[in-house]
Amino acid sequence: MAERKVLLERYDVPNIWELDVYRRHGGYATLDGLFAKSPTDWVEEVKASGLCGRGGAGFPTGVKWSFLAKGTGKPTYLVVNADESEPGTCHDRRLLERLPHQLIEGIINTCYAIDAHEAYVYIRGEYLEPYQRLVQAIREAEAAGLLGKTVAGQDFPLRIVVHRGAGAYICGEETALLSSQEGDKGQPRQKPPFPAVAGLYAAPTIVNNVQTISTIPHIVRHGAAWFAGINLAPESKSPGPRILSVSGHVQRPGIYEVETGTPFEELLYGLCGGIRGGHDLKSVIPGGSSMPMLPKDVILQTDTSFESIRKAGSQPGSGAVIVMDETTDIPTVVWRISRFYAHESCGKCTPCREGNPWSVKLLRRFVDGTARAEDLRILVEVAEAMEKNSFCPLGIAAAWATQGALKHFRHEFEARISHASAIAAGD
Amino acid sequence: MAELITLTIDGQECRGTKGMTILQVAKENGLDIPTLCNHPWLTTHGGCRMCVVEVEGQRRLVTACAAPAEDGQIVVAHNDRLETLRQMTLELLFAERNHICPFCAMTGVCELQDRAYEHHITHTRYDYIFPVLTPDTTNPYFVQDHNRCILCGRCVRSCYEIAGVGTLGFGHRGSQEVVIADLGVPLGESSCIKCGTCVDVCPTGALFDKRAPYFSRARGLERKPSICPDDDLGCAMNVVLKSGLVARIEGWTEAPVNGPLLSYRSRYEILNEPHPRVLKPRVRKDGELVEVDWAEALDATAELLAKTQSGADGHVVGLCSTRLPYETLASYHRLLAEQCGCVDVDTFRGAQRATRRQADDLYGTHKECDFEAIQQADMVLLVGFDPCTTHPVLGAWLAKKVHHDGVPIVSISPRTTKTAELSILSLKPRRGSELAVLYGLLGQLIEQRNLGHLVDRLTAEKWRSHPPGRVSYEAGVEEQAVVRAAALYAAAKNPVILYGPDLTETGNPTLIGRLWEMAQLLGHVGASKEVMVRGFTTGANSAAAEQIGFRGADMEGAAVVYLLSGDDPVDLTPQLRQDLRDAGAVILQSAHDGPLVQYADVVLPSLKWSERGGTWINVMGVGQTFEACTKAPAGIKPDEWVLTEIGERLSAVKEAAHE
Ligand SMILES: Cc1cc2nc3c(=O)[nH]c(=O)nc-3n(C[C@H](O)[C@H](O)[C@H](O)COP(=O)(O)O)c2cc1C
Ligand code: SF4
Ligand code: SF4
Ligand code: SF4
Ligand code: SF4
Repeated sequence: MAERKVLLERYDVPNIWELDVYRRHGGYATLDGLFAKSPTDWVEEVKASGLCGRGGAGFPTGVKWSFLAKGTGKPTYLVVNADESEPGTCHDRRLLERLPHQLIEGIINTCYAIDAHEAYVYIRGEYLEPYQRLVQAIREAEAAGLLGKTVAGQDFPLRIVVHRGAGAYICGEETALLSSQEGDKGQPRQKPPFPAVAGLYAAPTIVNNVQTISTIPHIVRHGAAWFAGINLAPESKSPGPRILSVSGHVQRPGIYEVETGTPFEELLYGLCGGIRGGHDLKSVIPGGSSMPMLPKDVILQTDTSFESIRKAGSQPGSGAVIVMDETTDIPTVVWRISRFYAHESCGKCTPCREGNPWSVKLLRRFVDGTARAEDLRILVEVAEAMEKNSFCPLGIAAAWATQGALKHFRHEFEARISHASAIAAGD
Repeated sequence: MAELITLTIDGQECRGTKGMTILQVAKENGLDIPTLCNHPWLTTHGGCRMCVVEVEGQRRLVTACAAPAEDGQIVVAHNDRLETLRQMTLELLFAERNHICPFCAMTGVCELQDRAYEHHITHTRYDYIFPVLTPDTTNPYFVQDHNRCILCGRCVRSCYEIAGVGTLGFGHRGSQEVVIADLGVPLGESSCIKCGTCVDVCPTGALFDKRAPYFSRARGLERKPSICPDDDLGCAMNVVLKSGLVARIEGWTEAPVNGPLLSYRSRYEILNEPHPRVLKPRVRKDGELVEVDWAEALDATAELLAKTQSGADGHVVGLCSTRLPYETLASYHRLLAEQCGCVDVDTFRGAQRATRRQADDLYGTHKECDFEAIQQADMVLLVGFDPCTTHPVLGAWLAKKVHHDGVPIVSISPRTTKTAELSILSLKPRRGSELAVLYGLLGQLIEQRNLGHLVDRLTAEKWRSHPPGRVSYEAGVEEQAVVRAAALYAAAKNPVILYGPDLTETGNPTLIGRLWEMAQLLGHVGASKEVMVRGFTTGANSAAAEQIGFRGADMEGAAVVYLLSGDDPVDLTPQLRQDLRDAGAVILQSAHDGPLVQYADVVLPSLKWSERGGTWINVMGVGQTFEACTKAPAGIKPDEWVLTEIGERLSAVKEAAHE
């Protein structure tokens, strides 16, 4: 079993981030055929390809584009989400650092399809080198006439603005990102209106992930049918190559681009060389810390297609595969994840703002073995309140960490209830 | 006509119109859905999560405050599952900071406490977090105690949406989040305009008035609308009374001009009385003011007025406050003009009206623009006007225009104005050189839009002789500023020009004429044909005084000066001091024992704002009638009674003289 390298095909070419190197390797070839078709044709093409967003929600990209409000009298904007902050995720960084021109090519393709003349890239503040590479690449493209008043000689003006975040995870959520980009505090906004109707500066806006946009040139170049064919799972409607960031207790952690439907067993034991130090696998989070964890027996029956992961009770999320072997203490993992969400909660809604610190404190008792019998009940209730009642997916995701762990590893929590407390409670 | 919709909430059929939220429909149909962060004056926030409901066919719960009501929807707003979630939300809020109610200014009228009772929260199952949060007491009028804050964001929204300034915001994140002013400075050092709207909308004890924290928000309060006497906008407010005492002033949603927005003056300053009340009449005897009964004081007053009536001893001058209601102003005018035959009757600051009157005489009567036009304006030119100081509610509207819609404001004033901070450009001409600046602007306007053929010879000469260079030299403003100000004005589609006391008090009607001319010129090239100019004065009832016929007073050689100042903090200028010293005798009818008293020979007690009822006519000519809110202290008679008594005594003296 091998990788299916499409986006990463040119990854190892020396100096591929330079315009002429990228061009020598087929870069910007899509601009030859792009303007021959109408924008709506391209929206249909992307719809037909079945491409689903790589940022987290997995929404079909072409369908999203077709929701853009028309005739508002306002410009349309493209916003590329390069805030990549989901724990375990590190492939957007690589795409930005090594293949910035692939992203720019994707932006040009997309802007033509959605009739946008201004694109924003909201990049994670800590990503200094990727930011520098991207800005450098934009300057090169401008100098080469690929951006600016005309694109490749066509009567199509396009400008790309890069905006650096200031270190808040929530600014990856698309509406919080837009608020932050506008200069406000990054807090999610009420939906509806969806960004496609009233997004950046209240104008129709498409927000897509770096990987999603970097995929577009390949669809433009090879066609929807080709893309739809990259699919090992017959029942899957989310085809294409997808980059996964594998971290944790495998022999060879790293980023891997695989065909949809590749079994996790092959990914973990084949490409990643198996579990480190001869240990046994315990659990895997298949889509970044925001998604529920799955135990060994479930994950090994699952493949990388969106449908298979959802059926197993988790989500494809950001494509961060976090692998834990038998030495891992699950209450400690959940405690650590909860600390992240408590730290990153934006504070807008009660369940997430206060539920997270509650969870952290309760979980700490499980880590220390000092939990009271009722703490488990409260933990479950707080998670329920967060899952049912949070304003945005951050609070829900935080609850999933606890809920996923309790679903499969409840015994590990029960074992940490202090003996004295259990006796007092009559258990 | 809005589309009618029908939905089912908790099994009850509810009617509403398209565009309403589920919460609005529920409320209109008498159903209760609990809320905390929602407020009828403000946009939705959706953060507290109290109003979550189940909607059939929707996978997730929705917040009723934000979810649009749809025809045929089936909504469940109350069941065990929702109750548990609401209890959990409340429990989290109570554990978050410090909600030990017996020590809180808002206990008894707190929405968080109300929700807790409704949802049977008796304790939290989790330890209180008790973060260390120091209350901010730097604002002169109210305290912000973060310990009671539930981060509902009502204050933040009101500060931007109603007050227009956007001082408040959220700082930090997650459970560390706090409401901050500007970039985290103490409120007292921030851009806050002290309007107190945030205090009105806060559901908890996190924001409360300093003046009377414990009784001002209690239950069983009475509310009576009244009018702010400070400027001529006609802002109304709710006077909140406890046992007949003023507890606090609140925004009043139904106020026709200002809605719930108030200025710091009408909300707070009005309650500060810098001087003690005048409780008994006084008459000067052997150089000393001594307390006398009403009869003696009224006799003394009538005697002074009667003496001068014969004409032998010089003339009577009357000056009164524009804070008084129409009825009192009319009685005062009748007494002096008709009964005493006095021609010198005016209000304090009468020059503000006189300049406008002279402009009417010189340039023909012009109907100036209304509030609607100001709200619609895409450019505002302020001339001799600092609304942020003299008309704070108008100042807040302008702030909203700037912050919400990016409307440019250009300010021309010889003073350093507060409004200049909102302005994209402010010109500060030397005092007395305003006219040169206006000619400069006019000239630029004519040149930039090619309007030379529209002006008469005289105007043409004037503007030709005022190129920006000369204006700059004469007025001490930058050449480029004149060009740019004119360009901003000339480029607008619906500009308005607002002038104020600093212009009218110059006494130069030509200035107003030039403003009208600028407006008319632009009217020829696409802008509105109406004169988009409006002058503002200080004093709530200036327009009434004008209607009644107050027409200027010459203090020179006055035998008797009769001042009806009520609670007006009269600006005791050196000129006024001299005039009062020179006058034969001074009658003062005043609510307060202020600096005017030293000049008086007779002092009559008077009412203050909350004790007066009657009609006020605002700058747009719209009348509003209010009743008195409080009773005057024992012994103080209504102003009108005093005026009638004086009138009767005068008639008696007259008759006696005839016989
Ligand atoms: C808390 C939170 C964090 C997120 N962070 C990211 C992120 O860092 N990068 C990203 O592309 N999408 C992120 N998303 C998803 C975005 O909201 C959005 O769905 C996505 O950018 C859409 O792009 P796509 O359709 O191309 O996937 C996040 C969502 C949530 C709720
Ligand atoms: S769920 Fe958390 S991150 Fe999302 S709005 Fe609520 S507090 Fe903010
Ligand atoms: S804010 Fe309300 S709930 Fe909190 S202490 Fe004050 S009265 Fe009690
Ligand atoms: S008093 Fe007015 S301006 Fe000041 S913070 Fe409150 S709402 Fe804002
Ligand atoms: S101060 Fe009051 S209005 Fe403002 S967020 Fe806190 S509780 Fe809400």
